[in-house]
Amino acid sequence: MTRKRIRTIGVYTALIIGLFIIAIPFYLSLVSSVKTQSELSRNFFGLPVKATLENYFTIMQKGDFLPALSNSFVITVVSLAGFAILLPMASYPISRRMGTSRIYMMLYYYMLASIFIPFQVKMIPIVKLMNTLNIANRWGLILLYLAGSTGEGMFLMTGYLSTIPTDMEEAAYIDGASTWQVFTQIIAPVMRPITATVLIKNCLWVWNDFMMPSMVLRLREDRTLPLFQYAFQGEYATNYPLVFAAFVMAMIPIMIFYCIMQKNIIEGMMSGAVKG
Amino acid sequence: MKKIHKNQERNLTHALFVLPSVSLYTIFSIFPIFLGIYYSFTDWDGIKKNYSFIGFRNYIRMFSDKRFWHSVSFNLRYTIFLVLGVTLLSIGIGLLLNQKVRGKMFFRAAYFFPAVISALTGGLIFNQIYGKGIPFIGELLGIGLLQKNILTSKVGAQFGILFVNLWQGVAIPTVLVLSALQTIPQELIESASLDGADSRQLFRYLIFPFLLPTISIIIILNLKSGLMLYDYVMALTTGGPARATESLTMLIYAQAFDEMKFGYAIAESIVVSVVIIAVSVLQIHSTNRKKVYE
Repeated sequence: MTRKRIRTIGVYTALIIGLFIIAIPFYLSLVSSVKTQSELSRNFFGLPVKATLENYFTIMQKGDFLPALSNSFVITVVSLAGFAILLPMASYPISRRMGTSRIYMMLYYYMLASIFIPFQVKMIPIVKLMNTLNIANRWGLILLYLAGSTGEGMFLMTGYLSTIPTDMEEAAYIDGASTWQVFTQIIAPVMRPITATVLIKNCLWVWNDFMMPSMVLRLREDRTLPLFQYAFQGEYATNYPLVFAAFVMAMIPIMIFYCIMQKNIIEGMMSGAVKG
Repeated sequence: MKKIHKNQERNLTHALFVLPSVSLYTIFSIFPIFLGIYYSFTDWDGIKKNYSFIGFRNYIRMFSDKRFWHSVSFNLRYTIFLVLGVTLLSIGIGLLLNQKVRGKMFFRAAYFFPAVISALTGGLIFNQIYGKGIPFIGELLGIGLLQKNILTSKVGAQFGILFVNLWQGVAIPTVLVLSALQTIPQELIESASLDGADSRQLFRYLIFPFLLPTISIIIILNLKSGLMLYDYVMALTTGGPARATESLTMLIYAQAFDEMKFGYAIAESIVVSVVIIAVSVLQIHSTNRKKVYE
């Protein structure tokens, strides 16, 4: 009995220590963001004696935050809308016909190849290509995301579709439905769970991505949230409270998202990890 | 007659359905690769109008390029530590979370959270902590070693980056381990315990075999992410001090656009990518094995 108790205490202690290690950076960001510079240099870890929201006002005044937030938002939402339409549309014919049609079989492997191709190999030519085509901007970036997600998204979706019996579609075809009708009224609703999974996974990828925007976006007004944070930290590195406030502001949207969709997010990110 | 019409309609619609994805993918994923292979055989600086073909000279040059090998060795060492760290930590935390603890869902949600914020934010927050927080403790306790920003020393910077990467990178593997642990039939563990197996034997002969497919996925995912390291380096050291943490991705980008060795940098990226592709092929292999296993 006592041995069991020691063990239980050990488990809880370890879990709580882990919790602290995870929480401390967030705690520090939050408390530092409401301190003044002079207080922070005297008291880095403790709660603020007199909390101030001035850092947040300063950031709003500087005027780079809201455009970055809106850029990230627009890029993510448009990309997600694209994923939601294009990926199921492409996955449906490929999944249903790759068994009988050579062309669709080849298409499947052609698209799947992207899972193996690391971004590095195309990164430099892409930057060149975007500049040549004059689309080194937000819209070009969205095209890159759409192109970059097809392999994994289609892999997950065709896998899901292969478990769905074709009876319903066949019946609808016999009743004279067009392919478009079958897709919008039968297939798309059936695919909703897998579409949601793919969207959540890609949502976090697009929202959090730093590498692609840092290489493709040229203009200050195109900056996404990660680029804003990076530039901000570079500019005000020594003003610790101000920089921490910028991080807190940048994290708020994703924190809200996580609180609401926690279960789906964990599932979505895991499905990608296992299958992609 | 009607049937033929029907088939035509279906074929056309299907083709139109795949067309947007396939063309986007071809233009922005496949075409750049061939463009890159083409330029890797040239001495193009990325700007001038004319360039000439130099065969495999870029590829040969790499072998004697100390800076390239320095990055290779940094990335390899880093990847080994990352893989070991993530694997051991995620198994450990996964086992802890799988115990009968109250608030299991809360712990799971909390431990997963670092995976949701961007690597860049994580890196930048720690940059501030290394710069101000740890020296603060050092001064308070009078420990000289802690008073300096660890990112300013060559070895310290590497471990500084690794720590942040572990802090965020352990989250998803932990949940993977946890869900693998939950597939182990409870009767199996109970009957083994009744037969007198201690917890070490339980782990070695029962739990570990169940975890093996998950572990191989974790290893391969982290091999990949270690070899592609970029965000953390940018957020913490931008390659310094004295190029001690210049990762391959950083090096390639810098050489292509800042140092005007466009063709050469692409050749480097192709070599690195071939290695990463080999790793990915392994991944699909092990994932397929997992399916058989289930």
